[in-house]
Amino acid sequence: MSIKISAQSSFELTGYWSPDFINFSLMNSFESNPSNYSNLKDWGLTLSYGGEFSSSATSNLYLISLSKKIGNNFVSLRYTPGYQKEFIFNNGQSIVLQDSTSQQLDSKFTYKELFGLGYSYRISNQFSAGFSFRYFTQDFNQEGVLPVFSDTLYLVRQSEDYKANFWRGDIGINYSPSEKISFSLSSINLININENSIDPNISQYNIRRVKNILLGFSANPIDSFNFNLLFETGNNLQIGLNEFLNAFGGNLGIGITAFHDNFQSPYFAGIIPAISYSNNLFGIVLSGVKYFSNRNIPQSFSLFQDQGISNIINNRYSFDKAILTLTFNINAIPEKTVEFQDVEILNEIYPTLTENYLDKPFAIGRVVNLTNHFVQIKPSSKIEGINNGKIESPVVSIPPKDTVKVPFYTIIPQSYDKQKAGISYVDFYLASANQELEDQAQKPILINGINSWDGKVINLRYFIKRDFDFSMDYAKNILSHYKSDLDTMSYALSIFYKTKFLFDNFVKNLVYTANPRAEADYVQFPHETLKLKGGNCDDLSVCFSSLLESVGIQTALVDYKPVNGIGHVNVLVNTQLSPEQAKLITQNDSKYFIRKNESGADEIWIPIETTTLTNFNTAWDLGAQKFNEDALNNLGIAKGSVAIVDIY
Amino acid sequence: MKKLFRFIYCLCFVACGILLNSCNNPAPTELVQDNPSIQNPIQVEVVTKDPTDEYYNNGFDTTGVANPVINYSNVINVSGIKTTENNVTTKISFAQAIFYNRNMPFREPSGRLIGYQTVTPGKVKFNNIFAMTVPYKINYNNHGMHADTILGNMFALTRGMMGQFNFDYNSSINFQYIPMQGHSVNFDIPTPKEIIGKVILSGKIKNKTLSCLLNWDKGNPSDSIEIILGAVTTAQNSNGTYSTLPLYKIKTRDTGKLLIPAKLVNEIPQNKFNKLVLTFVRKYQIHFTGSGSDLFILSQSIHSIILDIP
Repeated sequence: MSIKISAQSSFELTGYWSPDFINFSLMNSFESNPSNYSNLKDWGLTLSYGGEFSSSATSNLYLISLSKKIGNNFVSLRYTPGYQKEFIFNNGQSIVLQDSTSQQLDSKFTYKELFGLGYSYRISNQFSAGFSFRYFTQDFNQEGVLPVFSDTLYLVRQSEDYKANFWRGDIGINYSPSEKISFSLSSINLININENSIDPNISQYNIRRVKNILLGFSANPIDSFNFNLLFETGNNLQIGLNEFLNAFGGNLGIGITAFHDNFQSPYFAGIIPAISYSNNLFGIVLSGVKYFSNRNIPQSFSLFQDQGISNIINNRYSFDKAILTLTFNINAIPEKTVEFQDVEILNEIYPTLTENYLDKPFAIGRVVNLTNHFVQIKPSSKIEGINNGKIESPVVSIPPKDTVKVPFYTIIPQSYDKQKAGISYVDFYLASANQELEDQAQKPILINGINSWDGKVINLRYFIKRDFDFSMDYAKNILSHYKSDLDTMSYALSIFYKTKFLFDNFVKNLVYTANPRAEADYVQFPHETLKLKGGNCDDLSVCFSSLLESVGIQTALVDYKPVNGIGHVNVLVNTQLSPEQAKLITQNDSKYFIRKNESGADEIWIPIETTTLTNFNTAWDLGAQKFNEDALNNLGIAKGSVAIVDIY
Repeated sequence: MKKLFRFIYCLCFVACGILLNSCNNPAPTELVQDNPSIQNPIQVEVVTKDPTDEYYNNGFDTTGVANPVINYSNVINVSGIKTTENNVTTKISFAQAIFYNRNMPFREPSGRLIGYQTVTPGKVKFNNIFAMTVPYKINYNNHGMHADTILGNMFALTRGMMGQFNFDYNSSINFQYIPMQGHSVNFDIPTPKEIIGKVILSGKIKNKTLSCLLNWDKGNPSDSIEIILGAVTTAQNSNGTYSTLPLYKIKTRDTGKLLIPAKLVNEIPQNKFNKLVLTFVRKYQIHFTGSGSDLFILSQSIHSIILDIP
């Protein structure tokens, strides 16, 4: 049996808070949230404990609930031992006992909501839909008189129990067009499944289940303020106002909710003031329910019989309450604070250019901070086939809600020796300051062979250095044949002559050869050049520079930038002679160049054209000639078309 | 972090345990019965404690005529009695006056007080009709055997005896006591409104579904009436008659309607009883207390309905 007007259904012990503002306060609250909407990240555990202020104060565990988000699915279960209401009344009968005393017979009606379960699915960032089912028990205990016919006739009291348990199911959707506004539409008492056949004698005392629609609206006109309205088509409503502050590393909230119930008076039957604190790990809400009418007065049975109750925890017979609600947000899945928007590979990998990647990023990631506070992240990467572990890049601090470019650096191990290029992939990681992984991305990347060169002359240094052991053996072996010459000459000239001896021996069996056709930026290591007995300008300059450097002779590469697509490189050698000593090696001052060393002293450098595979003097002449023409006369150094690249 | 989660889980379980142990049920709301039209308050009392005893000394019989109660020195009883069986209603008027000698009690062998010797000093008139002097006979149980005895005489008057005594409902009956010496005592006894009962039985007692709905012409709802639920034995007495035992007295408001609690009728043993007797009693009771003596006056309208138990 139901009545036309309905009582309020969407009552919350903690008041009504925006579902997006404070997650915990609405966790598993099927009263105002039949669609089970939640923005919980992983596990949630809620516990509500409180007291009721009738003629005597009683305390009870109102609710324990457990929630879990699995992908876009959200499931919650709750046990509500405190959601109960009991009525006691004299059923109008009494018996006269054998001792002539009279005993009244009572009835006790107990209504409970035992447990509930909810499911919702997040269709998109804006839409969510779900349902909830709640299980109610109704125990109607009526004492009656039972005559016992034995040797004597006497009367005893007998309790008769009627049960009328039922399931209630509701569905609903939530729509959040923006972070500041959300709407909800839910049913009230849509599905009712009776577990027991209802005894006609007690059907009128069933919980009234009038079908209605629940409309919810929540808005945040300013960041710290939240307005909420719940309206039931049975003309019941709830209005909640909440204010928030950032405090103690979390969110401090204060709220007040006023509610109107058709079956209670005055118009706003009561208020629910609440104060809350929450952070990422837990939340706590202290709330109270204050009714404006006196509940500790004799209540009319006939009114109860006429109107019954529709809501177990909020009805005309409910007492004032104080509730403490604790919620734990247990995120076994770490909450994402940052995420990749994109990763751009800046360069393919040239394995020989090892140190090049220590100070120049090979990739840039665009990373967004999802939180409202500064986040420090540790980026790292791992190139499959090159790195055995993650290579960490410098820590980056990202402002709240900001997007920044995060550089990724890497280290190429000296042991890498694959000569063929291949496609591999690189994993990019973003970790929090405490090393918890926040996000990751993967991109394909081209790893060149060890002879590959990016065309930048400055990077030829890596080919020069890599073969130092070989070059040193080779150079020392040559110079050992000139030991007597070197020992007898002036020490100042020793570098010049070492250079000369090395070059003359170096070029003996070499011929100039171009790169393989498909590998224009192919550079041979010194041992390869000598083994193959030839190379192009890159190979020969690298090889000769490596031989000199390996025995302590400072060199530089002269980068003649490409003109019409053809570039060139040769070698400058530091003789460590002073300008005054230059005449010891030449009377032609156009064959050398003066450069200041680190201490500011002038030193004589001579250019060597390594592709001139005849002898040292010819190579020097041609080198000096080209350098004079391109670098000096044509102002190549000033214009940038010629660059001197020091090996160290 | 895992340690932290484990700690939180443990904390929660411990907290839940503590909280569950410290819980008490929310206080119930006590409702006050304030709608007499929906459910009459009733008071049920066993009348015949021994349902196998065809002779009872409980102060009632199923005609509603009380064997005068013995707690008073002097008892006057006037009754208008109707009995309906098989749609035939017989009516009698009845008046009696009993004067006990409280110095001469009469007890069962077990020692239980069952009455006093009576005296009949002077004469008694009801509505100016002299009452007859008749033996005051009581039945009692003597170690399981039926016994009766005469404790003296009493004044009695029924319709047709010594004139046309008639119990006028909702009126009064004049009582006059004329002592052998001295002045007579004369006063009117008010009579209640006639009670007209109706019994609707439905269901079967063998299925425990027998329902007994009573209707009567309602009086003042603030006043009470008594309904005596009795039953007629299936076994014949030694004298060939069937006993009618009043089982329960149900006191309720005079609202005109009552559904007898189902258990009261469904638990009546079918093998022992085959008829129900519902007796509606609307009565006035007056009690006077004087120096060394008292007077109890009972004025009743009684309607008994006898039905087969379905």
